Amino acid sequence: MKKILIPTDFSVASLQLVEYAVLNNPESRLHIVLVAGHRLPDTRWAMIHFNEREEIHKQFTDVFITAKRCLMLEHKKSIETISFELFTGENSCAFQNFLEHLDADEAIVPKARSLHCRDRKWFDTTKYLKKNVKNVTEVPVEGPVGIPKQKFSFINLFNL
Amino acid sequence: MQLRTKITSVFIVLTSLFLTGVFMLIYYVSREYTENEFYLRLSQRATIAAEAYLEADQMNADIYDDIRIKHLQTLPKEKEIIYPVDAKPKRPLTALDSTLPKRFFQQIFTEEYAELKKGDYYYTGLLYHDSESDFIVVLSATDLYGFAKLDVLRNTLIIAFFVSIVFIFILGNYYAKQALSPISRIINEVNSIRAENLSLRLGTVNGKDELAELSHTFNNMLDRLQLSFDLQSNFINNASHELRNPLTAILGQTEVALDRERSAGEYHSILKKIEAEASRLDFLVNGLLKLAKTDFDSKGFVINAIRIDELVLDLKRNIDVAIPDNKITLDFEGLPKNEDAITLLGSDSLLRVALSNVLENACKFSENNRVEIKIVSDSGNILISISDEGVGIPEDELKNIFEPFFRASNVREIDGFGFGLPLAYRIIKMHSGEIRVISQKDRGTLVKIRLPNKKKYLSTIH
Repeated sequence: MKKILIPTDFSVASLQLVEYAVLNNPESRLHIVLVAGHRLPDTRWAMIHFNEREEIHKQFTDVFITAKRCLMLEHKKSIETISFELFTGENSCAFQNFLEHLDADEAIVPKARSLHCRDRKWFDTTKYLKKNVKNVTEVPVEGPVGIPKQKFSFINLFNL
Repeated sequence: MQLRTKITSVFIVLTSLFLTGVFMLIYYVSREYTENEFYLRLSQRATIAAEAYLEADQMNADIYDDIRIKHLQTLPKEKEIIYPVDAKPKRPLTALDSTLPKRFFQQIFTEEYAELKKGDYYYTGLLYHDSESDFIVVLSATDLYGFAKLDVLRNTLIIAFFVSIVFIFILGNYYAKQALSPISRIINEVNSIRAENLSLRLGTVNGKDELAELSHTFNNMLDRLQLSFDLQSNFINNASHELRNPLTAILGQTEVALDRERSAGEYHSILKKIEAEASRLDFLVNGLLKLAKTDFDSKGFVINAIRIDELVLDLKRNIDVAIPDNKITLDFEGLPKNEDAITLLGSDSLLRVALSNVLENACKFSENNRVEIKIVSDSGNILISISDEGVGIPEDELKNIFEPFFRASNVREIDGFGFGLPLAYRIIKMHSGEIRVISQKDRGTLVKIRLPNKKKYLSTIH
């Protein structure tokens, strides 16, 4: 069985990476781990009450759950499980510790496109995967490009 | 009306309304304060007047008079009147001033204090209790200084209002012009783009505002248009080339046949070659016709209920005859027990064409290596996946694979015309379905087709 790490932003478009994992490993049973980045809260109270599973479940939409279920159904022979992991570190060293714990074989990341995170608490783990996982495959991903949040700037009011 | 004028006008109207409201509030508050302050002064003077005149002590009267004259400025047109009254039955003992309203005196009796404004005059009245009897003291005056101050304030506010409006007009007009100038630039640039110079693009606007987004959207549209133009011209080139090849071969063979007398065997061989080329031409023309038909006739096909598993099995049987070396495997493990879940409404002939094109591609481009077809059903959809371990499609060419006559760069040696997948795409779209291709060069291709089942299709149209 192979363990493959895939970055996710809990969108249906990001699940295309799972299909590429199946395409690239036709003979293997795959344990897919979808990795999302989440910043730890600033306050003590929030840190004590921080629950990874709860944060992940909050991001699930009906469309995403349906798409994931369809994937499992279509590739039952290839996909053993699809699980989610949260990376809460801030640098590559933390990510290396995170990887040791996961013991993954390879990673599949989107090429020339970053995942769009709805909230500033969440971040894309693609760059960490590219830097720290030995076997990384970059694949093209179709889908709507996330519109980044526009920061308000007073200067921009007069920047014509 | 120009957008610039509209923006400036709306801006001025809104600001005028706001300024009017604010200035009126300032004037109103100032007037209220001035009046209250004057009433207070009047009431203080009324109290002092009562103390001065109604206390029996002459020395007190002189002291009070002295205080009033030296320290409390006499108010303009000040007048004080003292009326003896009987407080308990609330009855005056002399005639009251008839020019003042009766409610004024009634209020003095009940509340022991009253205020009144009549014209330019302010009146205060208080009920004074002496040791021997009761009196009503009424003091009146006009607030000339207060009125003058309010006049100055009013005039200042009016002038400030009009000056503000002029400034807002000038600044608003300038800012609106600056904000909308990129649109004028975009209009000029778009006007300069023609079919001959479709590669021109709008200058990239810095920033992430709506105008930058408009520029990006235009440029994306121009990219798609240019691609479509290029593919159409390629289509015409490729179609002409493809049609020309068999025609050239046929003409060549007939020229050879007519060149000199030949044996029956030679004529037979030439005719066989002409037949093969004519069949190829026929196949090509049929494909073009089907492509054209799906473009313009998407509503004209006959709808039947089709069991997808039976269709696929039938196709497999046909392919076994056409391509005996095929290694197609069918995976129907995920098929639901409910027959309706895998029955769809559509054209049997068209769906056969679509699925057989995809299957033949899978066999052709994987050199008859393993091809797997899997059918599952979920949430009202029938999901068909066809995977192969063939040459795959280069990732920069993936976006063009549904364009007619497009052929990937890594399959030029393999026979084909490039309309199988575009045809399949259109047929599936006609059936309200989706087709997606996931592919990696030298790894293989996964084609995913999603079609609504009968129940979902009927609920969609109703």
